[in-house]
Order: sequence, then structure tokens, then C-alpha cells
Amino acid sequence: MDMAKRALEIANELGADAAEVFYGKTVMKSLSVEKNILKPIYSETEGLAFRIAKNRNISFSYTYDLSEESIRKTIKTAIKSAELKGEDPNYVGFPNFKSITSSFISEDIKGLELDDLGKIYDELRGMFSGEKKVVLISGELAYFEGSYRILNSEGVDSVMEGNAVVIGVSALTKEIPPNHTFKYTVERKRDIKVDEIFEEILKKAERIIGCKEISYSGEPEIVFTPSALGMMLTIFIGQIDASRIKMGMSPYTRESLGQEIANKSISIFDDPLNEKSLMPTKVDFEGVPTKRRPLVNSGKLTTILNDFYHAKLLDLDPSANAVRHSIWGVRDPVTIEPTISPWFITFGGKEKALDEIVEEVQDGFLVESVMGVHQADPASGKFSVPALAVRIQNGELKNPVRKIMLSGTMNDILRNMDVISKEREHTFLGEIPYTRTRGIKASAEKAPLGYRIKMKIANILLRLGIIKF
Amino acid sequence: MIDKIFSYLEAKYKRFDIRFETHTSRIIELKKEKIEKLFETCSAGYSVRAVENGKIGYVFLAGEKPEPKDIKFKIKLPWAKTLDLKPTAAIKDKVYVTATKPLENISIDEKISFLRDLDRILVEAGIENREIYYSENIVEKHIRNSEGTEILMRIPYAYVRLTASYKYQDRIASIRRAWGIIGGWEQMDTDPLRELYEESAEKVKTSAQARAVKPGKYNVIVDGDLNHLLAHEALGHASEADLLRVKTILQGRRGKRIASPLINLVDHKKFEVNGVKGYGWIPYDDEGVSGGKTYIIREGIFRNFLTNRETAFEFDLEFTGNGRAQDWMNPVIVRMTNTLIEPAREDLAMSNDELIRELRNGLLLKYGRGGQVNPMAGVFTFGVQEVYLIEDGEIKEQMASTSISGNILIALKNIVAVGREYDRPEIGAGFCGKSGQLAPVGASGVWLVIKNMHVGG
Repeated sequence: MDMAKRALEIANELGADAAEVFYGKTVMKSLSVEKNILKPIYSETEGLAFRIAKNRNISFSYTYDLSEESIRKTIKTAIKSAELKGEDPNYVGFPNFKSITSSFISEDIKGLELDDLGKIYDELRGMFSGEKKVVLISGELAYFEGSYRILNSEGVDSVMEGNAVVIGVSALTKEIPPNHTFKYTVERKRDIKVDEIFEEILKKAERIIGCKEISYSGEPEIVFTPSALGMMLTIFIGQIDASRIKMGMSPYTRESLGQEIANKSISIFDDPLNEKSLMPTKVDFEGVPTKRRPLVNSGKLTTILNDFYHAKLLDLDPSANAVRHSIWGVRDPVTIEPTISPWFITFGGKEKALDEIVEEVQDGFLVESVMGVHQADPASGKFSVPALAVRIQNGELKNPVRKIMLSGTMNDILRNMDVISKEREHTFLGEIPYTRTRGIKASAEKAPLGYRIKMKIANILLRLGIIKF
Repeated sequence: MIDKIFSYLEAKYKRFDIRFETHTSRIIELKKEKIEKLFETCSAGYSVRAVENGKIGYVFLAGEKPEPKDIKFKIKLPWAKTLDLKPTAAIKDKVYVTATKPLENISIDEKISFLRDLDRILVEAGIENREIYYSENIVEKHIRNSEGTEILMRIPYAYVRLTASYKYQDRIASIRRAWGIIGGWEQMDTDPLRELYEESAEKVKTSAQARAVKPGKYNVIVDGDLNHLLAHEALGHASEADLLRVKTILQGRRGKRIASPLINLVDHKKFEVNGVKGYGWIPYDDEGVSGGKTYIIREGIFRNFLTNRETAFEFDLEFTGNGRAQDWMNPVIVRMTNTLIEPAREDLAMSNDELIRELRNGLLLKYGRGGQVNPMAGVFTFGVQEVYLIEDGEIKEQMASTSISGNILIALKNIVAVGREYDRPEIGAGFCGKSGQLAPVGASGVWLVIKNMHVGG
């Protein structure tokens, strides 16, 4: 008998009222590069995680020791913890959806080795070698292969498996101080278009080289790049998380469903089946079937992200967003309880080419990156963040500005977001467009004169080759 | 088992090390009155690092009895730099942090009851939306290397975090407070922690009703928590030697003045205040290197980068004992421990009351809410939870929470007065994220007067 099924039996023998067994095996081969330093890494983990119900409550534990003795000990610990929690009046047990096999294994990349990752980076590095304004500075390239199974005492026996190549590379503009740009992509084929990665980084870097100091105060039009919007959207994602709504730590409630919270021309989706995502899947980590669903449909809030428990608690349609965070990432999914998270965010709505969007802006900024979004007030969505942005005047991109303060609320961003670009970019959050919005206050001021003079001299010396980058 | 892996590596590699770790963790999460989470876990595994053909490779293996494995990376890239680990002296030691009331001896029932007591304080103050998260992690490490080092460590961590929000009319204010200790239950179940909850409950209510600070430049006092954030986020990260591979604002500045002569900025592995350890306290780092107090800045002059064995070899730098990994499943990278600004001259340091009088008009900023820094450009931003108006050398009304931002090389030069009273290390406890890894760090420092700080949006 397989060990996951046996573990379910053991839970029953030990007196669990109900149980869920999660089996996970993850192999990762990764190559970390910082300038000319290479670090190959190999890791392999295989373990079992349990969620055990006792006296109408559930607790969690896991083990990497797959002996029956260790499984028993771990389940006993979970039973004891569930008892200590006391009865949950909202206890719902485990889901009883039909079993699903979700396989996104690409045979093309199976067995990819560290040497193959080294060749990809080497090719990319070669492309950057002749560049005078931009330097490739680091990369994280990894091949992941994961095999997961969810069984529960309601009869669920679902399988999730997949593999992917993940590439993240960083480049700097050759100036003092430099600006940073980044490209992230997930691939499921060996023939990786390295030249496209190169071109994309170059295009982004060229926009942000040569920052100027400006003084500014106003409420300009803001065009977010996909990476900047991806960061800002993490505020919104938290606000539509059922566990936070339940706690009152969101401006939204269950009654917000169907209400207009964003501009009518915008729709936002969560797409678990999108093959560009790190882990496309037909089933979530509790065994609930997934599907592409709108979070915001033509400006109206249509989904509150939930897991099985919160779906029942708030009387919501199950959205299948129970995710073992950091899937294939630094933390092993076995060690993490499922929590609510989107799978892969995409956009729909009124589209224009980025050039057209910029042309329509008289006084604005193209925001390339933002810092400190995690400091935003989760309850109100209020933020105040420094950004790297490119000035837009009379429909044209002008000079970049290293630090402009943006302040407003997530609500402002969504309600005033009137157009998205045809262009999309792959980010950690999903496939995101450029977007234009208003209602955000912006301010910038020049650095002290002494500092500006020092930077000016340093850049002259750099150009003359007297100091090296 | 570590002997078997050691023998396997010894036969194949000249330079290597092994870390076997077990992390025994307990989590209790109280959301409103309800226990949302309660679980105990134990994670054990090996991190193996070896130098082969000038490259440093890592293998991570789960469990207590894994089979040894090689790293297979054969491709030769002509541009790749030859690496090694800087040789260390062989150290043999055991460090077990002891406690009057060891965490493992306190029942889960008692811990739940303690958290419920804290929750009751919030309920009585009328705080409806609240969450108390308790975690403890008893970390045991066995480190061995090819130079003959063998170190055993046992460090118990406990941490409790409050998140609460309060709605007043259409405005919501939220608050976060941390309390982290290394040691025993006697440092957790304390009156000062209860007092912190009582005070926090009142502050979040006031903050929800308070006026917003008009964005602009202010002369400010930052408290011990923000001192730590400023030291850690704004300059500490830039001083991590692995950034020399990429770019840091501190490149080429050793021996140069980069801050007010009134300050030292230190990373102190064994930082303690009145016997309370900073949350980043470590007797040895994860490479078995012993560290003490590293002066990153001394009397305003930039002195040292923080190193691990890899960067100490690569850039020919001294050991500072800053090689740390989240757990066995992650590589050792350069990390800070307890990072703070301290007075360079005790005779010029002031009491907190004196600092307020010195500031005369401005803002008192207390308790950070995370931050972020671009160590290449020196740009930083931090959230600030408590803000007070200071007029004529006196603390006046509480204002709404805000943020501060600026350029670190400018801000450090703008420090015009330094305190001598250290805030409690427990409240500066936190976790620093870098390269996807979390590491426990601290601690709180003294108050500082900084002129021309950009406050608000």
C-alpha cells in the first residue's frame, strides 16, 4: 500500500475524526550567478504533511521521515493540537470534490541539468558583452520538478505534478548611482528565446538611464509599468482575501460583491490554468477544482479569494485558492499549511498600445518601480511609496526621475484606471499590462546641491574611464 | 549520520562544510478570540557545501538519514571567477542557551492562556479587529568543516506579534507590535509586554482619529525601533559584502566620512541590554565563525563590510561572522544580526528628554512598519506607526501614521544628536528577508535627532 493512503489509515486508527494527507516531492536544480560568481545548488525533499480534524477543529504537522513510527508520532501531535484548539463553531471539515489529476509535465525540459542552465546564462551574458550603457549583473536560473498528492477522508485523491524552468535576470544602467531592471519568466521548453529576454531588459534599461533631479508637486496622470503595478496589486490581493475580510482588515466585505470598485473598463482575472504560471493546476492544494475566474468584472468585484473553510464561513462560491505558498520556492510546500493566494493574475478591458497611452498624457509619470508597498495600511489600502519613474510631458517620455513620492489609496488606483496596454509582461503575480490611472498625489524634490555635484563629477569620471563601473 | 557524510566529503573534496539542523516549531495564532492556528512541527536536514574546480556548490537533503549526493556541474565558463572559502581556525565548542523556564517545558495550554490574557487587554480597550501570532523555534545546529571546526548550538527563539486595526467613522488605523526573545518563557510572560499591549490599544484608537502630517521636510526624533530599521535597511544591507559583486553605494568609500561624527553604526552579534539578548544574537554564525561587534561606521567613517567565508576570500576581507542561512534548505549568505546606531561618544549622548528639548519643534516618530532600500542608489523608505508633534520642546498631539523616505548618505549626515537610553531589544525583534530567506534580526537602539527628513507622501 502506498504511504499516503497508509497515513490516512493511521490517522483513522489514532482516532482522528477526519484527515487530509499531503504528499510532496520536490527536486530543484538551480544556478545562482552574481556578476562572475557561480553557485550551483541541488535540493531534494520528500515528505508528508497532515491536517487532522478532532473535536470539530483542525491542526497541521509534517514529517520528512516516512517511517510508520514517525508518521504516527506526527499525526498524534496534530490530533493533540486540534483538541487543544477547542471546538470551532464554524468547522466544515475537508472538501469532497471529485479526484482530479493535474499534470503539467513538459517532457521537453524533463531532466534539464545545471549545465543547461549555465549555457542559457552564458548566451545571455554574451549578448550583453558589447553593451555600453547596460550591464548584466545577476541571474537566478532554476529547474523545478514537483509531484504532489492530496488525499482526504472524504474520498479526495488528487494529484498535481509539473515542472518548469524559471529565469530571473537583473541588469544595471552604467551610471552612478545605477538603476536596476529585472526580467522574470517561466518556460516549459528548452528552446528559450534568450534574445527576447535581452531585448526586453535593454528596452527597459534605456528608459531609466540618465535620471534628472526635479521638483514637482501635483496630481499627475500615472502610467504603471507591469512590474510596478504587480507590486501595487499585492495591496488589492490582500484586501480581497476572505481571511482578512473576515477579520475586518479590508475595506471590502462580503456585501461588496457585485459592487463597483474599479473603473468599468477594467477586468482582472485569476487564471490557475495559465501555462505561463509557475504552477498551472486544475486543482488547488485542498482538492478543490480550479478554473479561470474574474476577480473584477467590468469594474465590479466578483470574487473574494477563499479556501474551503472561508468559502463556507462567508457563504461564497469556492474559488479554489488554497495554495501552499512558495510552491517550488525556497520553502518546501510540505512545510506550509494551505493559505489563500491567487494563482496567476491577468487583465482584460479597454486596450491601447503603450505608445498611444503615453501620447494622451499631458502631465504624468511612467512608474517603473515602487518600493515599500508592504508598508501600506492593509485595512485602508493607503500607501505612500517612493518610485522610480519617467516623466511624461505633452505625450512624450522625457527624463527618468530617481525618487518621486506617490501617495493615495488602492481604491484611487482602481477607480481611475481607465485603460490598459496591449503589451503584457510576465511578473511574479501574473501577466500584467501597463495601466493608466489618476488620483494619486506625487511629489519630488531635488537632492542637496553638494550631493548633486558629487554625482555629476562621478559620472563624468565614469564616462572618461577614470573610474570603473 | 553527520560522520558518514563527513567521511564521504573528506574523500572527495579539499574544502567543505556540513550543517545539520533541526527546527522544532510551535505556532499559535489567535484571531479575535478564536485559535486560528495551533501546530507543532519538526524539520531536520543537511546543508552540504563543497569547493570543486573553483566553484562552490550546495546540496540540501531532507531528513536525518539521507544518502550523500554530489553536485553535478561540469560546464566550464571562462568568465566564471575561481572561488574558495577563506580558511578558518578550527573551533570546537558547544553553546546551549539556557533558561529558567525552558520554552519546551511550558505547556501549550499555558501558552494559549497567556495569549488569551493579552487578547483580553485588547478586548477591554474596545479593539475589535485583532490578531496575535505566537511562534517559537528551538534551533539545534551541528556544524563541521574540513578545517576541523565542530560546533553544536541550541538557540530557543520565541516571538509574539500583534496586528490590530481600529475604525473611526470612515477612517481605519492599524498597528503592529513585536516582542521577540532568545531564552525562556520568563522573558515572554512579563508585565512590560502586557503594558505594551495596553499602550498599543490606546495608540491605535488615537491614530484613527488623528490629523495627518502634512507631507514635507521635518526635523525629527526617531525611536530605538526606527534607529534599528534605519541602520539595518538603509545602510546595513549596503554593507553586506556580497553586494560588492553587484553594486553598493558604499563601494570605494572605506575610510571615508559618510555619516555624522556623533554616531557608530554597528552589527553586534552578541548584543544585549540588561541581560536581554537582541533577536539577532548568535554565538557563531552558520559557518562556525565567531563574531562580536562589527563597526560598519565608526565616528562617522565607513570602516567595514560584513562578510561570510565566501566574500572574505573573494574580496580579501576580514571575517565578521555574518554567514547565515534560514535553515538547512538554504545556502549561507551574508546577513546582519543586531544592527543599530549607537553614540560614538558617551559624553555627548543625551537622555530622551534632552533630545526632545534639543529638537524643540518637529516630530517624534516611533515604531517602524517595515521598510525597503535600494542599496545601489541609497534610497530608503520606512513606515512609521506612531507620530507625535513636538512644539517648544514638548510632546503635543499624536498624529496619524505616516512614512519617511530619503537618501541614506544624506540622512546619516543629518543626525545632529544621539541618545543614550536604549529601547527594549524585544520590541525591535523581527525577520529580515533577503534572497528569499528569513533570518531573525534585532534590535532597538537609542533615539536620534535627524534634521530635514522627508515625512509623508
